[in-house]
Amino acid sequence: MAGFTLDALIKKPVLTSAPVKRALVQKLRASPSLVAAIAGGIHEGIAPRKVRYPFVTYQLVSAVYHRQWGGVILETIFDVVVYAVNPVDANNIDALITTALDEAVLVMDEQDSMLCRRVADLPTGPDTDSQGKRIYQVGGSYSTWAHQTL
Amino acid sequence: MIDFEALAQAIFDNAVSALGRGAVVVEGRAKARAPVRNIFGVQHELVPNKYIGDIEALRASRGGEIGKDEMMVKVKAPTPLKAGGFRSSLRRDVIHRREAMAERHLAEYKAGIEGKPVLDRRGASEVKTKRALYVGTKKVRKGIGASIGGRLRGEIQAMSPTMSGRTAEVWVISPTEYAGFQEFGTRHNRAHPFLRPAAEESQDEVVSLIADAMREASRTGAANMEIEIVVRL
Repeated sequence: MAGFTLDALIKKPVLTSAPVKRALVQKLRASPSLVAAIAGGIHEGIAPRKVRYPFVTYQLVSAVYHRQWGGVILETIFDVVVYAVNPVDANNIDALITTALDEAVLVMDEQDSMLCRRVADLPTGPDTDSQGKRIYQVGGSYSTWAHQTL
Repeated sequence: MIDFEALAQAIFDNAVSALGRGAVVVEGRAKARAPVRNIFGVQHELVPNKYIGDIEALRASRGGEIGKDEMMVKVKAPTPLKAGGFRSSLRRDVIHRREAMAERHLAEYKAGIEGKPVLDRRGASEVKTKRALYVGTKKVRKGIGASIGGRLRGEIQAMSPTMSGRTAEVWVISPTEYAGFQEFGTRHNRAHPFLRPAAEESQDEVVSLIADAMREASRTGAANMEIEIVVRL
């Protein structure tokens, strides 16, 4: 009599964008030169008002699932943006971020990182903060592909 | 004998027309994702506009019958209708409903009704001062009426496909001045992306629309021929 375990029939939880996000931040934090350059740290979405410049924010733009036989590919896009009072600092930090993330292999549990690549620059310009300081906003969009076997 | 040039042109024309339909799909998704401030909180109650062409097509497909709930306002059918007049009456109807709802919420806010009012302090002020007016058309600008809120959503539109040589492209635009601030975020406000997610999520649908249109054209042009179609976006 052929036997099978129930475990084989239980569906694995499908990956979400959370591990990808975590891996992305880990990758940024793993770059000592980048960590030394950003006094204000890395924040999701928006930074608190009194954070020191320069700082980095990241934001999930889209997460699309491509289901295939035996697996699922999660295609995500993140915006990673630098805010600095000096345009040179902003561009230098943006270059460090690109070095850290472009063609990087993200480390995720139960998922394989297939690709992480800068796909666009953000068309953002200077802004003024609540204290009247001129703030330079420079960043890019990063596309990541993660695969999980189901 | 197959005229390959005519066949290729037919396939290309169908693909371009499908690309236009794909842009409309992206436009719809972008509109669904576009942030609308919840101080008005009444957007979901609105009945979507149906234009005269839509209603006539529906009527024709059903042999002259059409359900009441499928039309926003009663129309004296089968009197010939002027498209512009009918459309603007629909628009006026929507605008009046929005204004009435906004005024009602303002009255509730002023009366200090128990529970959570739909309008907050800022919303009430914006309704009162008419600061949140969404001025959409020339007629509205002349003072016939104005809708309240939803400007970003209302101004998203799919352009017609354009061709340069053998390349076709189509744009879905959001011409509102603050669209970039919503899409990419600022120092003060986090991003609420709506155009890029719409494009990403629609990619498969647009590709299949184009592939289907091309397959259809190739079938019509050359019944016994198999053509491999590759669509890249």
